[in-house]
Amino acid sequence: MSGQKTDDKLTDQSMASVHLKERREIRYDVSIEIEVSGIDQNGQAFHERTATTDVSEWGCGFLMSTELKVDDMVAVRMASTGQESGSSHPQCLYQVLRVKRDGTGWLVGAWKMGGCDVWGSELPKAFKSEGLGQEARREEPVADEEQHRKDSEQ
Amino acid sequence: MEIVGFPQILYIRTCGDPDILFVPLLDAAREAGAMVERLATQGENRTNAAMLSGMHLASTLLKDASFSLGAKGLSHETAYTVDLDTGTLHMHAQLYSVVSRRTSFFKVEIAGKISGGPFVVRNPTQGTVIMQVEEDRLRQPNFFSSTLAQECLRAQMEQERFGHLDESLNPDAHGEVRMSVSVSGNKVPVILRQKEQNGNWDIIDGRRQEWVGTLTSDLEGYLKSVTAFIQELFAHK
Repeated sequence: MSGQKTDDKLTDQSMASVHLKERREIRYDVSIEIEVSGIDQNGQAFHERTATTDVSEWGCGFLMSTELKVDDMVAVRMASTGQESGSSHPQCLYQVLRVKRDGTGWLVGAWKMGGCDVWGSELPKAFKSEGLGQEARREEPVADEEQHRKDSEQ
Repeated sequence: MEIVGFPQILYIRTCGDPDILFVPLLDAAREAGAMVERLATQGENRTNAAMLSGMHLASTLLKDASFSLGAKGLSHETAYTVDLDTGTLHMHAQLYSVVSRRTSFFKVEIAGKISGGPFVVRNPTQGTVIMQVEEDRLRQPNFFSSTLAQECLRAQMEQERFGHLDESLNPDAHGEVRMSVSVSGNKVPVILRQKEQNGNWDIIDGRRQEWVGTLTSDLEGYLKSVTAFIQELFAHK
């Protein structure tokens, strides 16, 4: 993703702590298999394999069967395919910003806490497929606060 | 407050004062430390267990509206570091003491094991140990602003007194040696004083100027050797 960065972009440190109103990134409806780890409401560790519903460079949405709360911290890494070891993908910390009931699960929106690159080459692939009109659908940038308001209205 | 391995710090605007925050943070870190041990016994990789417990600690603290996440890099007057992997809590803070309407400021570092045991208080500028303190004393109200600040002031005054030896030497003494001895983590100023030539060497507690004993003749022999060496050194200078 470094090739996509331009000088007018905020630095990693600023992006990690930027105010929700200022967060406007292009999100892609792309499904990437991930493993989400954290501590559940009973204080037990969980490692849940799921897939993203949308992805941006700093944020992502995913469906969970484990209940999470706003401001919970989770570790996210791309799931290994079986042909590779799980540790080959970097694990990045995310802060949970939105949680919405979705059927029997929870739709979670999370924001990355540091400049760690969780998606590797998957996000550039999403950018490319956007050009071909396949898989990923580009969404207009929406600030988290607006998204939160939309979720509440639904 | 930094949790080692965490990409951001937890920032508290209103009550970072150690008299308010140190003990609650120690308790929260202790709970997280216990969680590391529990997860490790359940088969979680220890580094991963420390990371998960650190995440849980941060989430717990964020439930208090006074805390917010912030970027690393800026220096703060009071800062806490929790390392769940090594099981240590470290704090640096600025304390002050007022005597006769004069205010003295002190920077201190406090470090200890999260699981328990004494904490060591250091002067970060000089790297000296000011005192070693048990947890129950840290839990006393206003320990940092009163007891510890006074202790820092006493240490500073000793430092200044040692720095002006020529002004404070006893004019009646034939010989005098001043030293600082570490006793149970506390630095105790000690004076060895010989009142008359070939007389005994008294051991004086420098804090209260109290006589506490006399050097044995064996030990006097060592002191004579040191004195002779220095006399010769100065004679050839």
